[in-house]
Amino acid sequence: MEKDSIKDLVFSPQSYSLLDIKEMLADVSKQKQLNSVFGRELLESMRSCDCEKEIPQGGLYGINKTSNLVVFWGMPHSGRTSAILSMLTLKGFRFIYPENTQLKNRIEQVSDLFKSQKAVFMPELSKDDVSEIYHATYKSWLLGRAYNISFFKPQNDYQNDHVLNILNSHQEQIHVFCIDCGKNNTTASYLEQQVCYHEGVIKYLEAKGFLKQCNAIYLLVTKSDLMNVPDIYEENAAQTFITSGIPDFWHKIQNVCYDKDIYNVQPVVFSIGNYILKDFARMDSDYGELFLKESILPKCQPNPNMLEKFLSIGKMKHASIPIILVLLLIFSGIIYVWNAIVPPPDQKVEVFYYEKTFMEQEKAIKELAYEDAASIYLSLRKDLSVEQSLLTAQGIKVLPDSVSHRCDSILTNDFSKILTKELEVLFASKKWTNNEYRLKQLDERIIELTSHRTLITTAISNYHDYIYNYLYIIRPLLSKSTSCKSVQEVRSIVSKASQWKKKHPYNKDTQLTKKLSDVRSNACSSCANHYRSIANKRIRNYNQQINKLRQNTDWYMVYSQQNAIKREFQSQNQSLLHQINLLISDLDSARDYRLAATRKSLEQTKAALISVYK
Amino acid sequence: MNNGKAGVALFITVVALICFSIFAFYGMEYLFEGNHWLTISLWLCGFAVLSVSLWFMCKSKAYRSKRSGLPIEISSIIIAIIVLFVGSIPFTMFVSVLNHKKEFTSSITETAHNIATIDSCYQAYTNQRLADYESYLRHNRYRSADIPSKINSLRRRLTPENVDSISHERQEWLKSLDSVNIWNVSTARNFHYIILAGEDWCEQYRQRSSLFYEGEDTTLFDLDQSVIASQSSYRKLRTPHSPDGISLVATMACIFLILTSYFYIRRPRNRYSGHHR
Repeated sequence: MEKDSIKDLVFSPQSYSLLDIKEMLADVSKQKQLNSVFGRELLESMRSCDCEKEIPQGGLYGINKTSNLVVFWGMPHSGRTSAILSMLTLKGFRFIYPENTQLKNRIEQVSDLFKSQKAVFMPELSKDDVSEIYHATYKSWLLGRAYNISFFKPQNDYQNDHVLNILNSHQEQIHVFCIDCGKNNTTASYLEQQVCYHEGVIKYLEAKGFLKQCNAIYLLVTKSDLMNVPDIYEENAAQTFITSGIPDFWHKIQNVCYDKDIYNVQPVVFSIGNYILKDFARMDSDYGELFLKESILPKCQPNPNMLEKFLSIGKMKHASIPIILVLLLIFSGIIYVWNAIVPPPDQKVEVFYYEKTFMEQEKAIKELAYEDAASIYLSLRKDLSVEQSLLTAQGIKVLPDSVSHRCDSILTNDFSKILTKELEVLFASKKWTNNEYRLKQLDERIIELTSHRTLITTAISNYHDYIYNYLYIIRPLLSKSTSCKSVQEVRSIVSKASQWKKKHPYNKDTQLTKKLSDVRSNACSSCANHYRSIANKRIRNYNQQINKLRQNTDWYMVYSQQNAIKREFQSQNQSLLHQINLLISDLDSARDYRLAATRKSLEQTKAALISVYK
Repeated sequence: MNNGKAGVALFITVVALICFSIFAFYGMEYLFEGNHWLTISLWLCGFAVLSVSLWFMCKSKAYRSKRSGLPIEISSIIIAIIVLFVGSIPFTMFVSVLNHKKEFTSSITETAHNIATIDSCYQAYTNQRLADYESYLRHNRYRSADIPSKINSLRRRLTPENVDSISHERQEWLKSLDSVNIWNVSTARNFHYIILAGEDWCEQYRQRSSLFYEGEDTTLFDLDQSVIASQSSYRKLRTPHSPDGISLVATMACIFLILTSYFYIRRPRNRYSGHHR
C-alpha cells in the first residue's frame, strides 16, 4: 500500500495507523495536506495522543453458574472483544472483578476510552488468541431488576475443556455469531472462512446439546462503520449483506432456531465507534446499549428478587417432610375432634289399629277359663259397642263398618265356642240343674250372642232350648205338682212329667228325674189333700146346719129341712165323690206303695161322705 | 424450580391446596348433609384433577417448546380454574359456616334441646285434648256410663303404647350429642340426623293425632315455634348462598397461594418473540 500518498489516505483512512500519521506529520510538506484532510483540531489530538499505550489482556477467571452466558463466536479480529467491552462500559453494569488487578485495569482503561468525548487512540484489545470471560451484573433501573450476565469470548480453537466447561456450567445461554463486514475484509475468501467457522461452531453446539438451553441466537454484523453507509441505512445494508452474501448460512441459522425453538431475529448491526484511522476513533457505545437492551436483556433470566429467593429456599424433595408433618397434624386434628353419632333410634310411634289391639285381647279369651273369658268378653263387647257408636269430627264412623263387623264376628265365634264347650261340660254332668242362677247367666249369654246377627251353631240354640224348657216349663210343672186341685190336672201334669223325664238332657240329671218321678205322688197327694179338705169343710158345714136346725122346736119343719139339707149335700157331693173315685182308681192303677197312705185317707174321706147320706 | 430449588414454593402450594381442599371437603359435607361417600368421591376427583392440572401447568410453563407447551398450559389452566371455581362454592360455604360459628352451633343445640321435649309436648297436647273432649261429653249430656269408655277410646288412639320406651331411647340418643364442634367431619351428618329426627318424630305424633272425634275442635300436634325457628335458621345457614366478603377474600388468598408455584416458575426466555419482556 502506498502510504505516502495523501490521496490514498483520503479514500481509505482506516488502513493508516496513528503511528503512520505521526510519521507523516514529521514531514512538514505533508502537514498542510494532512491539515486539510483531518482538520487542525483532530490533527492536534493525533499529535498529542500517546500511541505507545498498551491495555492489559483479558482471560478466564471463575465461573458464575447463576449468570446468563452470552457467547460471542467469531474469527480473531472480528470485533468481539470490542463489542463486549463497549457493553461492559455502559452505565448500570457492575463488573465483577477477579482477584488479580490486570482485568480491573483493562476494564477501567477501556471505559476511560469509551467515556472520553474526543477521538482517542484505540490500541489492539486482544493481541493473542485466548478465551476471555467477563462477569458482570446489570441493574435495569427502569425494570427494577438485576441481571447476572457473563460475556464469553472463546478462543479460535474452541474445542477444548475450558470452553466446554464454561458452556456446560450455564443454564441460560445466548449465542452471538459475529461477522466482520469491515470493508477491507469483505473479500470472498475471508467471508467464506467466517461462515465455515460458524457452521463448525453450530455443528459443535448441536452435537454437545447446548442448543437445548439456548435462549437466542443473533447474527452480529460488526464493524458496521466500515460499510460507509449512513446510520439509518446501516441495518438494511447489513441485512442485504447477509441475505445476499451468505444466504445459506442465514437460512441454516433460521432452521436451527425453528427446530430448537430458539429466538432469532434479523441480523443486528454493531459498531463501537467511528474509526478515523486504523487505531484512532471516536468511541460510541450506542450500538452496544441498543444490542444489550433490545436483544440480550429480554432473553436473560433476571436475578431472583427477595420473594423469589424466599420461595426457592430448600430443594423440592425436602418440602415433602414439612408437607407430611402438616398432613399428619391435620389428620390428627380431624381424628381428635371426630365424634360420629349413630343414627336416631328407629323405634317408631306405633300406629293405632283398633282391630289389632282388639284381636290381641280377644286372643287371650281362648286360653282362659269360662268365667274369666266371659268377663273379658263382656268388657270387649262393651268396648266394641262404644267404638261403633263413636263418630269423627267429619261425621264418619271412627271404626269402619268392615272392621267392626270383623271384630264382632270373630269375638262372637270365639266366645260361642267357649260357651258351647262350657255348656257341653255342664250338660254332661248329672247335676246340671243344681245352679239355676248359673243357668240363667248362661242363657243370657246365649241370648246375647244370638242377638249379634251372626251365625250361631245349632248346638248352642239347642242348649238355649234345654235351659228354657227347664226354667220355664219343667220348674213350673214341678211347683204346680204340689198344688193340684183336680184329677184332670193331676193327669195332665203326670203325663207331661213323664214326657220330660224321658227327654235328653233332663233324663241325665238324677235329681231332676227323681223330682219328675215324684210328680205323680206329689200331685196325687196334693189333690187328695185338696179333696179331703173340701169334704171336711162340707161335712163340718152340714153338721153345723143340722145342729142349728135341731135347736128348733118345730120337728116337722126340722125334719123336712133336714131332708132338704141332706139332699142338697148329697147332690153337692156327687161330683166330688166321683172325682175321689177317679183319683182312687188312678192311685190303684199307679201301684205306688208311697201312695197307700193317700189312698187310705181318701177312702176315709169317701166313707165319711157316704156316712153323711145315711 | 427449574434447578429443583423451590422447596418453600412447593410447600406453600401444597399446604394451600390441602387447606383449600379440606375446607372444600367440610363445605361439601354441609352441602350434602354428611353424605360421606359422595363427598369423599367428589373430593378425591376434584383433588386429583386439580393436582394433575397444577402439575401440568407448572411443567408446561417451564417447557421450552412453544408449540407443545402452550396448549397444554392453557388447557390445564382452564381446567384448574374450573375446578377451583367449583371448589370455591363449598369452600366459601364452610368459611361462612366458620364465620357464623356461634349462630350455627346455637341453632343446633337449641334444636337438640327442643326436640328433646317433643315427647312431653305431645303428652301435654294429649291431656289437653282428653280434657276438652270430656268437658264436651259432659256438656252435651251423653250417657254418663259411656263417657269414661269414650274418653278411654280417644286416649288409646292418642297415646302410643311404647311411648315410655321411645322417650327413653330418644333421650339416651340425644345425650350423645353433648358437644358441637364445627371441625368435626361428621358434624354435618349429626346435624342432619337431629333435624331429620325432629321432623320424623313430630310427623309420627302428627299421624297418631290425626283423628278427631265428634265435638273436638283442636289442631294437629305441631312443634313449638322456637323449634321451627331454630331449624329454619340452620337450614338458612346450610343452603348455598352468595359468598360474603370474608369468604371471597379467603378464597382469593387461597387460590393465589395455590398458584404460588406456577407464578414462581420462570418461563423459558426462548419463547418470547417480542423485543421487550
